[in-house]
Amino acid sequence: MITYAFQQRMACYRMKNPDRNQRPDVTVDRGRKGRRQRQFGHRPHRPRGGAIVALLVLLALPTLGVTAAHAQPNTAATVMPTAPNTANAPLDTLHTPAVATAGGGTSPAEMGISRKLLPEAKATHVPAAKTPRRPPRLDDPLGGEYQFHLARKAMSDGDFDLASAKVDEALIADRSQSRYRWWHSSQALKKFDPGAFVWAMPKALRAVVQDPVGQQRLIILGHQGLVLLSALFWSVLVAAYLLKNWHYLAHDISAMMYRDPKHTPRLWLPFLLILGFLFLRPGWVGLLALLSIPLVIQTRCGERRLLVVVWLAACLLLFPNWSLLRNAIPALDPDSETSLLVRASRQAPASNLIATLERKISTANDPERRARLQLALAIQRARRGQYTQSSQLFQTILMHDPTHVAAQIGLANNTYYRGYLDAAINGYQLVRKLAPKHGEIPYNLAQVYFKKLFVPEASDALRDARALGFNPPVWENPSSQAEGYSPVVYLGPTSAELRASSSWEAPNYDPYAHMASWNFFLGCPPLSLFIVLAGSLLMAMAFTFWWSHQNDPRNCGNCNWTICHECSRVHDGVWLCPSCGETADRARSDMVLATLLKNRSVAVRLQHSQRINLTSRILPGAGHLLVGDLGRAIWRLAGVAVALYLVLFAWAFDPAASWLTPGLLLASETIHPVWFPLPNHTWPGWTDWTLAVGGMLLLIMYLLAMIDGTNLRHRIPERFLASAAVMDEIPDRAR
Amino acid sequence: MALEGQLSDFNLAEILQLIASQQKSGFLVLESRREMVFVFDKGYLISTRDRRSKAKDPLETYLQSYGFFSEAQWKHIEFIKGNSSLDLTEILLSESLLDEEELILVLQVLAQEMAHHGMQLRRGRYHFTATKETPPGVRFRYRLDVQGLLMEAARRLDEETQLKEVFSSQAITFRQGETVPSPEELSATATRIMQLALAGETVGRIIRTGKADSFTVRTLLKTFCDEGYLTLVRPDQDDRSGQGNGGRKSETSRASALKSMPVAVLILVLFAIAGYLRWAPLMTGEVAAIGLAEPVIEITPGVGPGTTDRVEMVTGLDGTQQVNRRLRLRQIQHDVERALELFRYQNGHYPEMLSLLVNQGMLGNATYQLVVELGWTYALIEEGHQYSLAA
Repeated sequence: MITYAFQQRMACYRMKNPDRNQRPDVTVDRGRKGRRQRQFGHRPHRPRGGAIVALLVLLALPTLGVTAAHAQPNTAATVMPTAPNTANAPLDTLHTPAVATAGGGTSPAEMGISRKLLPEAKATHVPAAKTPRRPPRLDDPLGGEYQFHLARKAMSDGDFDLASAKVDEALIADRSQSRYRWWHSSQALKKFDPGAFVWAMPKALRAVVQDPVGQQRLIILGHQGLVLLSALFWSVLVAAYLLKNWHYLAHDISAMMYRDPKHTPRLWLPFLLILGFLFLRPGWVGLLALLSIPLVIQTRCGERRLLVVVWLAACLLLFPNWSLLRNAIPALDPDSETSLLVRASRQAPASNLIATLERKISTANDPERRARLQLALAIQRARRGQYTQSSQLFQTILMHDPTHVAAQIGLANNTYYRGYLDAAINGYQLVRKLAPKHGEIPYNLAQVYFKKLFVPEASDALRDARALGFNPPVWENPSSQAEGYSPVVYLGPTSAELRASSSWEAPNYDPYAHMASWNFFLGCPPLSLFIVLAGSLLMAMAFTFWWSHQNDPRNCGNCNWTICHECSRVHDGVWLCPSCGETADRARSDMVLATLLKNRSVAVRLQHSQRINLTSRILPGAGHLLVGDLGRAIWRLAGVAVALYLVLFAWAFDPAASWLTPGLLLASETIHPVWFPLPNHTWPGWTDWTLAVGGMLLLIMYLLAMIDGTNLRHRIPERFLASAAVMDEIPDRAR
Repeated sequence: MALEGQLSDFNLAEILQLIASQQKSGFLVLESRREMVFVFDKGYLISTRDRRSKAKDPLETYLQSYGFFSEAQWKHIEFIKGNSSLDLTEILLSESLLDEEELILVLQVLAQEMAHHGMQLRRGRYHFTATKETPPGVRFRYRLDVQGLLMEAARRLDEETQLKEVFSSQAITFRQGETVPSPEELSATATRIMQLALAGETVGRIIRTGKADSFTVRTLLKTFCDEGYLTLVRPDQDDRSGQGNGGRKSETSRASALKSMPVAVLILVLFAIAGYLRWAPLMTGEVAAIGLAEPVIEITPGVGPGTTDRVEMVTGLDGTQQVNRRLRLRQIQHDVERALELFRYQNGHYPEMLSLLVNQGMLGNATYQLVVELGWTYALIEEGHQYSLAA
């Protein structure tokens, strides 16, 4: 019997096993001279090859027993349409009808090997004894996992090249795992290898697009990261606002607490406010929300809008019922139905998986859910070699949904493995019309054609598969060698089906399950984080509208300081702050009045300049807020927040981890369950790239702040320059 | 040209005489316990104040020492000084605290007093810096003849001894004397001193509030006593002695008070209680309810003979967190199972113990330790073809 296997497969095998005697898909061919020859399953394509192949096919046909006379009763007759005109059906092609060749043909008629002389064939069937007990597989998930383990080991030994090679092997074995690609990208970053990173990152992104479970895990990690990042940005923003408005806060608290008509600002009072909020132990974002209430009241225009936008963004991020996020939570559970479906469609057959699936099917009333479970069970059964039970399950699915692509492919696959090659071809061609963009179908079809030795058709089908983007790397599965069957692909649940499964079981999970270990760190249970943020935002809005005078700002006519309507004074028709007002009241002569006001204005200006410099150095961006340059302030504060995020949190995220997320940890796994609930065993050390990059960024931001300090000092805001103009408005007697 | 030396060699009187006779212009600085500056223009004294000097302005010291202004006025002056670069004389004039005539008189008296003190100095250095023309930067200058200044200083030196004998204590007070002066006989300063003395003030206090220099006040008091207007009462004779200023109420600063003390206290107490309720449990085991904390084993001793102790796992987690904890446990279990499968893939059999997974790097040490802490047991079954991993 002659079998021609897939060309790449053989080439790969040769590359990997140059010195092996035993070769896969090597068949014994008894040629015309009766010599025993060894031939590899693939040969270089040559123009004359077609004639040789045809000759060999014809010689081998009697040994195959592929004749209509020997065709056994077809158990899958319902899916094996017979050719309308089987008498005219050529065996070596379905495209080209047999044409009588005169003289110049590949084989002359008188040689007795012409197609025309072959008996009428209705179907091709391999005897049951020669069908595989278990189907060979194109992939090997456990093998892939093992190669990935070796890659990690190589990386821990510092051998990045070996690790890269092992990742490649892991991906050949199991290309459905997007986390291998992510790990490779992150290691490239860790090794400061931008070339490798640029090469690996797009592939990682493409892999995620094709991996629905990977997407869900990435959504969860992304959400956790965004929550921390937004909290950090909010923190630096609040800190900057506090630095800017400290004096006003001190004034307002003084006005509220003390019977002092001058509202003398007591600079320690804002500390009391912060301490008071801390006493309530509201958690990190809770504290930010509480501190933001007075700041929203204090600030105006763009600054207020920015604070409210950040607050709203945090609210939206922590809204518990985003379907995308909620539906991703089951992906964290190895025992969830979604994970079960994925495992059943990818992993080797396991009795516990089959038992679980059967149990779930018995209780499933929803037909769609039942179909998903049946598909997974059918694949498991097929992988066990229980083709009949598997086909029955596929047919059950098709009874409810005749357009179910995965079931049709699975049924055709089972037909192929049971030896009904033509019926399998018909099955594939039928489903190919239904789903013309699935590259797996022509690929599977090609395997059947190869089995039938229809090489041109097989080549065409393979080309089609490649054109549709299905071009799997070759993985040698030892179990496929003996039976002489090439692996075909069973399609598992689609992304939509997995999403539907997640959506079905998402209500069984806590929407904050992926942040369960941060419950006290971020908020104050039993109040939900969303309630804490949204409630405090509403409170802030109410206060803002209540204190309407905050929306009617007035500045001191001399120093331009924002003034309080209660403690400010009107002197000769000009509004003055308490200090300037006192100065004006004290002065009994015009000369003193003019001198004092001018000197105070200059003093305030210098003091403001020093404050700008100081705050800018304490927190980059805060100085820009003081001069009213909100745009530059935002990106500087964002830079600080990103740098802090990289230093404090980024190291805890591992996109390559199968289950671990930093927000779902046992208390004993955290550095500290209350103050810093991040995984203690993933701490990478001080030399990790996230810490290095974060530290560098922080350094750059502070260096910029040093430079900014001088520039900002020279760039006193317009309102302070305006104080010079105000001097002109001072009464004539003062000049 | 500079002239400098020790006061022990060449005293102030001699220096002043030299400058006056030579009609010199410049600055004379005496450096002793306190620094004194005399500014001359062509032999005349024009000022005793130097704004460049780090020492306190002698005019301000003089005005403060002799009670020229009230506390509020001084605060006002300080405020203006602090917020402007105006000279004290400019402030006094512009704020109408003194008129020009009064100011000149005050400055002259100050110069007289400084000369008096300078002539008493026996230790210290002097340094005269001459200028070709009128010394620059001198505010509010006057013109005082040095010879007259020296004669008055010499007189004061002579009379000082007598005054010290008469007013040997600052606590001396006065009573109305046998003679009553007519108001026309007394100048404004004398009237003021008389009023203070009759008000029962001590000598010290009369000097500090008399708005005249110490020598003048004491001379006036001595004159009043000599004329019989006042009778001197020494502290040991005075039945009111020892009271001093005890009867006066010290002026309290106007400290602002809280708007409502009870409300403030109430708020503080509420904060304290809230803080205690929120934070104290962290010290006393509330950690068991934070994150995904492990349950605690509680053993309740059996009551009565024959009963066994009751052991139960107590958790502080609410229902949702318990579900989340179980989710994490499933993840850990799955990690271990995958490591076991990898081991089998590599070695063809399952390991005899979980620590072998750690040795081969298939399971993290942290996860292994966690499994041990959780009390999970691992065992091979069916001759090593299967395993069991149970809590």
